Amino acid sequence: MPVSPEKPSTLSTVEILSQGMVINVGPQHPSTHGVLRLILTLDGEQILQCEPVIGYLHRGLEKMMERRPYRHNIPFTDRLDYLAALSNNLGICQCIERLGGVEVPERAKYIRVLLMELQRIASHLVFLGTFGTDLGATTMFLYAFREREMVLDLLEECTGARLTYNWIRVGGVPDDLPEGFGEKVLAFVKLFRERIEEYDQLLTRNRIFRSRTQGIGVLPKEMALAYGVSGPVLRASGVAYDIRKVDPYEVYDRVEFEVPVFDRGDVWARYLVRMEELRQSLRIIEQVLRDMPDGPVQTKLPKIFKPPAGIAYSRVESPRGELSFMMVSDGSPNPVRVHIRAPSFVNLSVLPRLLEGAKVADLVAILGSIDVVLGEIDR
Amino acid sequence: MNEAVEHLLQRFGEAVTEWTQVRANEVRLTVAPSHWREVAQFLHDDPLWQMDYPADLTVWDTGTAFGVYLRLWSSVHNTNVVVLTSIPRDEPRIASLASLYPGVNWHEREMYDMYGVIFEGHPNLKRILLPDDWEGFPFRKDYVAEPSGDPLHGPQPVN
Amino acid sequence: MIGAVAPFFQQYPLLWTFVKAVVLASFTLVIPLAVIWVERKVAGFIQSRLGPLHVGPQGTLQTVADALKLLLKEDIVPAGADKRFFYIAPYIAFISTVLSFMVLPFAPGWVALEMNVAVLFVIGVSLFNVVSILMAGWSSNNKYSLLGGLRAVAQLLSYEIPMVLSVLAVVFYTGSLSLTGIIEYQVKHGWNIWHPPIMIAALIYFICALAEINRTPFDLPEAESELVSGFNTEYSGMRFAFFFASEFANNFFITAFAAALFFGGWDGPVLPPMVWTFLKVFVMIFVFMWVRWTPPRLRIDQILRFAWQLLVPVSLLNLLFAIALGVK
Repeated sequence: MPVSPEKPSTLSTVEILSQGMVINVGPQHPSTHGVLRLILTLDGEQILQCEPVIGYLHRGLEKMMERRPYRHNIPFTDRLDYLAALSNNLGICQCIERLGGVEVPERAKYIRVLLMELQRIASHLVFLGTFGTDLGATTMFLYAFREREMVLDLLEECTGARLTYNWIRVGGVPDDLPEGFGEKVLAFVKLFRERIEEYDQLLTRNRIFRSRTQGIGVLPKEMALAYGVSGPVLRASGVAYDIRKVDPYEVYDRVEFEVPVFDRGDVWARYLVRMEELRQSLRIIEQVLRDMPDGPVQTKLPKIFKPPAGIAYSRVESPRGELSFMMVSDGSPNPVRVHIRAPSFVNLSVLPRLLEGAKVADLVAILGSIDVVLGEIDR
Repeated sequence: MNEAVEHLLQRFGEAVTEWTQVRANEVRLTVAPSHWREVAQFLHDDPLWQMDYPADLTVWDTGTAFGVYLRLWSSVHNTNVVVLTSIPRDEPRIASLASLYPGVNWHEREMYDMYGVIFEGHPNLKRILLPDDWEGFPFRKDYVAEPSGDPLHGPQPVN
Repeated sequence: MIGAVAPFFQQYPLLWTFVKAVVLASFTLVIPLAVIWVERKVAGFIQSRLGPLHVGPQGTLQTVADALKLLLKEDIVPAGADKRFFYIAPYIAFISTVLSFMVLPFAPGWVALEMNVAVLFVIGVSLFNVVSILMAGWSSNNKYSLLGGLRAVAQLLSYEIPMVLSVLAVVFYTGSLSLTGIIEYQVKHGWNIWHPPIMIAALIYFICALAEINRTPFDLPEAESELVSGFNTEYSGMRFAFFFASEFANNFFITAFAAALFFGGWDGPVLPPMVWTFLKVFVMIFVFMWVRWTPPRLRIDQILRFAWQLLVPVSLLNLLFAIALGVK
């Protein structure tokens, strides 16, 4: 953990007042979402400067992946963005598929999209819960997690796990959906539509919530593009960049849905984008269940899988943004390099700019609205 | 995209050592490391390219050299470009793109951290994921670590 | 019952005062147990869960268990803390609460200290609370506590003014500074709340009460997600228990004070007066809790702006209104 030089304790009052007070937020703190350390320089309630310190969760996954055959690396990806593990699984499998030229059967594609959207709902519910708690509306946390339990139950029935699913394979999915899964998902969709209205009443229509989020942490469009920000943060700043529309994968080009884009670029807009994405995910789920064809769910691969030499990349729209895997192969069973471009890593780099001139009380709102997961930042 | 590639080759003919059209809106280029910054600037400014979004920057170890990989996207044209280059292992230096694309700032720091690549002109080139006093560059293929018994500093490189 | 023992004790006035002080101090320590239990149950139901269930019937002994745990904890004082203030801050808060309970009439005749300037006394004594928070924030040698302490003081002082003004509206309207006098006025003329200037005063008082006892949406001084625990970050064990107890006892007191000023105190048909006091208090506490668990919290500059730009002018105008329509 990098150590910034300790201020000598013999500073006079005047010196302290002119340099600003250095305060440490984290790595253990109720509202940094994971082990993140922020070194803030404050002048009273104003933030003069912010330096994020990361690496507390660095496990060297990319290096570990070089020692194992391609398919053995899929479980590692669960631990990246652990709130949306299936997106990570899909990302790495797509990359290996592109590298090896592997085809995925139709039914598997539909199942993958179904799981992705359920995962998106679960992840955005965590955002809603923690965001509400950060701002003081603790009740939101319980409501959001009540619904998340239902999604997790569905996913557990299908994949066997609640958080680290490891349920996408190179060439498809390991198994078909369980009996009656479609009906249960549709029942959940119906219930959840009403619950979203409840969240609207609790948060969106609340004047205090709006006064805490509107106009706060504005990210202009040019800065958002220049920093490579992605996901709801970018779409809240006016750029219609959703990989599902811009570079469709699986069956996203065959389902109808809208991508919410707002111009405001503030915390409020990011919140609205995610709320609207919840509704759109429900639409996608219904269409997928309606149109899913029968057929095989996995393309069989040889025991020792050696893709041809080359470089390939894949990108998926994870709930946090553009998650991209880049792999280099030299024809051997193990990859030469696996690089994970995590959306939270890039989104976090814009935080110091967002905090310039903001107040300490807005720090939590802004950090919460970027919605980072340290697992994928540190890898 | 062909027109755009023509434009690029006219300007940087000798620097671009090879190029392929991967699909309709994606091109992959290999350039010489000495022109790294100029090509990136061109891709950013030229109206046919207008690559305003830095998607990814990374380095990998081929055993004999370091490969550098840069991926850009254009929000105006919805086109992608992957720019590759190769730098020598014993003298891993390349121009920094941090002032052009602020988004690669942290990526370059991470590559310095893991491979020891010096990005010339980077405003704050220090380790980002590993502790500041870590010795060695772990992602290199010849990095061999020995347990040192020190929980804060982890395995120390043998060479 | 007081009537029975009073003549005996009146021969020993010092002893009588001592007994009353002990009873009230114990009350101040015990009533939070009930209030906290209600808080946890209400919070649970609002959040679609059940609250404490196992310790005691329906979890009623849960807070007793928590208090015992706090008693047995190690006494940690941060290195570099200013020991004088660190030690006495919780007790100052506690003392201010006990003092305010001394003048509260629970039922006719059940007042520890009958004062004819009771309202002034309460306002004066409530400032001890502010001082104790400042002491706690400063002496903890912790930047988070300091920030929390400063925010708390700014908030409490700003909301003290509209609160005092609205209480004064009642005083001018009923013509008495004594709580017993105000209640008796209401027994004769109906509850104060039914008169327009008092309605506005009551609304302002409620908002200020939320701010005075650091409840959401005004709980920035203790904002858990921002400053860990604000001014009481470094307090643990018994000291923390005292802060916590005085906060919840204050909850009770502020609502009881409101009951006396606006809702007739112990006045009410059929049921005994003591029951009426408690009933009114707990209904208001329920409303406080309902408000606490619903909206998010306000930022400090929004809190201060609200107090100075809205509440102070409105309460001033309301005071004039009350004086105009007041005592004939």
